[in-house]
Amino acid sequence: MRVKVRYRGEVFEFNESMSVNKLLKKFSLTKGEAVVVRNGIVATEDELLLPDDEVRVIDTVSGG
Amino acid sequence: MKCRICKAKAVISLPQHNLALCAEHFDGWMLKRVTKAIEEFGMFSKEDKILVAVSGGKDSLALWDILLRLGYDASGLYINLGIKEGDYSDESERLATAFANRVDAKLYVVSIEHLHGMSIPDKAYVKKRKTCSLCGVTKRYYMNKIARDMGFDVVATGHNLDDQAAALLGNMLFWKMDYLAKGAPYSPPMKAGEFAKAKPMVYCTEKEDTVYCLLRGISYIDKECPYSKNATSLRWKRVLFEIEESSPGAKQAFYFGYVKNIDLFADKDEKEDIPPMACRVCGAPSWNEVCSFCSTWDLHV
Repeated sequence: MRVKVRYRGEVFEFNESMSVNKLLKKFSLTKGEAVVVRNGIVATEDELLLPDDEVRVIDTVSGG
Repeated sequence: MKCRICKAKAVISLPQHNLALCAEHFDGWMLKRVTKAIEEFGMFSKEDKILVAVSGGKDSLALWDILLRLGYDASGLYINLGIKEGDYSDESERLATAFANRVDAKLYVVSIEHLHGMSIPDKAYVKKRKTCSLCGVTKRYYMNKIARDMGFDVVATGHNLDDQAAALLGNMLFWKMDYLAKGAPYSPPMKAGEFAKAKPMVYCTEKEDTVYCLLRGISYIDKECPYSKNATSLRWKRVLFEIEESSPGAKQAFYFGYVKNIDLFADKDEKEDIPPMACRVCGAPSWNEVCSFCSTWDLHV
């Protein structure tokens, strides 16, 4: 039972439950730089990601 | 986290506003933020014809969607730059076209390769120019041309608060006074009969635009332009994200404080800012006998 996270075309698996905030820190992202979608629903930073959750991290930054 | 208004599950926290909102209230909030920018800066009215410069990205598609929902007369313009890496330009065009079909709005499409026989990166290579600089000249030319030829009153772009604050930081670091004089979210027409330029997303952030598109089911190009990977503006954005994380609201205070004081950067000599002549090749307003676009694309030889 692992939290499965898709980010930039790769799949990452984590053994422990964690908050969205903690997940962002693992990827060295600030809150403004990414949106986390949990089981198809946009999640706020305090939400807990649980085993079997399908999680997507989406970059917000664009431009050049 | 719960919605500050209705206590339903929040989808976004906005610490800079001491706010958290559910999907429904966030949607309404976005419409209000865009309305605020339009009204505060006198950008346009429901009678104006608006041309939205659409890249296929989240900001411009969110802008087009919001303007249409607010009842504005907004058409789109997509410029296919011919960038092949990752199918970038063609995929962006497909997404822009799919959105135009979905909302049943007019989309003008310009293909640089079809018109000039060469993509932007290839032309930059041949001319030994930076791709982004050649891209900027070309995009500006076609935005202006379509706006002029089709009688639009305003060209609207999807620049958001993060874009504007990053540009401001870069311009301040190097004291680029010419650019600092021109960083407002609205530029009135150069003269009567010309079009204005507006940035109605200026109160919205990258994150807010992303969440808006996700909630509205708007498919957008989520890849970076392959030529913008090392863009300095991305570096400034990262610095500002760090600052915003520890000081929520700093970005908005930084940019709108500047807008309030923009006259400090006005040209003291009050030099004329309107191009004095018409390009002898294309007739567009120009600083020289041949404009930078015609010169870049060798249309004068």
